[in-house]
Amino acid sequence: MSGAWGAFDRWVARGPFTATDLGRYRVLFAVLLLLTPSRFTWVAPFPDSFVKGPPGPFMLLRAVPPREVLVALDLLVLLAAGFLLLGLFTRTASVVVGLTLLTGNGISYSFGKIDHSIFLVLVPLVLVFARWGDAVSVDALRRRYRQDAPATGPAPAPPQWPLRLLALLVGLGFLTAAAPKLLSGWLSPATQAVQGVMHTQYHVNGRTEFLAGTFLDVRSVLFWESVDVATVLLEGLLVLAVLNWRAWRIGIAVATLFHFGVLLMMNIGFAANVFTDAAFVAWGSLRLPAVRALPRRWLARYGWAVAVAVGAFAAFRPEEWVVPRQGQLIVLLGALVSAWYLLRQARALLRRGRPGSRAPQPVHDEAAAAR
Amino acid sequence: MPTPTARADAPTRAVRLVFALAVLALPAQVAIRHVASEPYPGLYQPSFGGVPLAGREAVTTEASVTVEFAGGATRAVGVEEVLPPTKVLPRFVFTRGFGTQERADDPRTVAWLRERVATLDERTATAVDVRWQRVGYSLDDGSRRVVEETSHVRVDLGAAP
Repeated sequence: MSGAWGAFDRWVARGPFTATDLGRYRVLFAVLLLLTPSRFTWVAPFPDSFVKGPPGPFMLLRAVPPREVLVALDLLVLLAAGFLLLGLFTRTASVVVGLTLLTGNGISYSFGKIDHSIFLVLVPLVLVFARWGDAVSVDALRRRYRQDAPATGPAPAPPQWPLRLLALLVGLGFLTAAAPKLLSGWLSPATQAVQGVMHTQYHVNGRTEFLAGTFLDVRSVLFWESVDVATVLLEGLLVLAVLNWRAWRIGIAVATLFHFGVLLMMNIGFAANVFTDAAFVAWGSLRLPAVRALPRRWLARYGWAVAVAVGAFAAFRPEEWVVPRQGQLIVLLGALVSAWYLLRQARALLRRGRPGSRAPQPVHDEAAAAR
Repeated sequence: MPTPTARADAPTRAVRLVFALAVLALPAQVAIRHVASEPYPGLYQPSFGGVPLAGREAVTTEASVTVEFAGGATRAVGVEEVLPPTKVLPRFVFTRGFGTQERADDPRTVAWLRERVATLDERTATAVDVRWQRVGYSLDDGSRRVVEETSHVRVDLGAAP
């Protein structure tokens, strides 16, 4: 038993993620939050009789919260996102973002529909334990100035177990989507479930863009049954890929392409999932130009004012100042990154299999030790 | 020699506990969903449960909404017209308010609906009629047909002044 625990401890501690990977992802995550318009105030005009919270803490909700509370929740998310962007008081900001999103979403989901964006809530609450504020952050600058340490040198490797935990939670989430499909006959050759879902999305929810019209005309039973089977297999087996970081990255790349397919076919953009998967990208390996003109000492002292200003601007900007089709854009970008990654993996695999080829090269930064 | 378990420090034990809770949360959520409904917070992802097909038709449930005015005139309105803008699919919110006669009869719902309908049409509305229908869309030509009316909800908005 002790050997098993030891193996488990080593497994959760293994990983390729650097402080820069996580720091850059934190910045992207904050930008996403800041660009997303008001989340919670839509419930304000409804009567209390519409409120019936799902099982959990929101069962206690009996009335629509006052508009001021909803506005405050929106504002709190964005102010905390301003601090996340700069990486200032990162731990506090992460917890505030996570708990405020959880609360606001819980209120929104008490009106009859749970939108499945739980991973966006989990990201800050889990990655705060990976110290995602250790790099690309004002926190790091302040620490350096406080200790009077030299300005160079990478941040120490962050704990890897939070990434493994996040991967496990994503994998289990996918499993919850697979199980009802499996139990309700998606694998039966007599029925083509995706075809039925696509038609209802098209006609009932008006999701008629991109390739929806084209797929509407596809009558091949073999095609639709293959999509049913592929969906259940992907959602059901992704959790197994958690065991190995390379398998996990390949798995989520395939999942992201799957989300892109759903976007093209049913116009549903699971941006929250794609953005969560982005936590596992080696952002630190991107070569970015160094910003030398950054007023680092000034930021270390007055960064809080910048964070507040950014958050307040995001909260009070004109409603029409939004990125058009933001969610769809995220899914598209995720698909491009995933396709690039999978092609790179395939190329490395082919090279390895060629007779007389040289010793295999690691296909990404994690190498064998990180598996 | 102490075993790794014996040597496990508090952070290591905490990490083990967190992973164990993550795994155990799954059957707990499944049980809650089975007994009541989908919990939140929870790890659930969209399941699109069930196969929404009956023969060569994609089937779904829709609400046919009609506003009745003093003097007998009527007007068909969409679910999206009745509701203020929502951040979730409107038909689910509409179902929450008007899925059953009991819910629709709530005085708070009736008062709210009276105000909403007044913003849609300047005539004096006396009632809102909601017919829940099972609807089929042909996979072959997209044509729509009402398979059956599953329930009928009527909201009396009060006598015309």
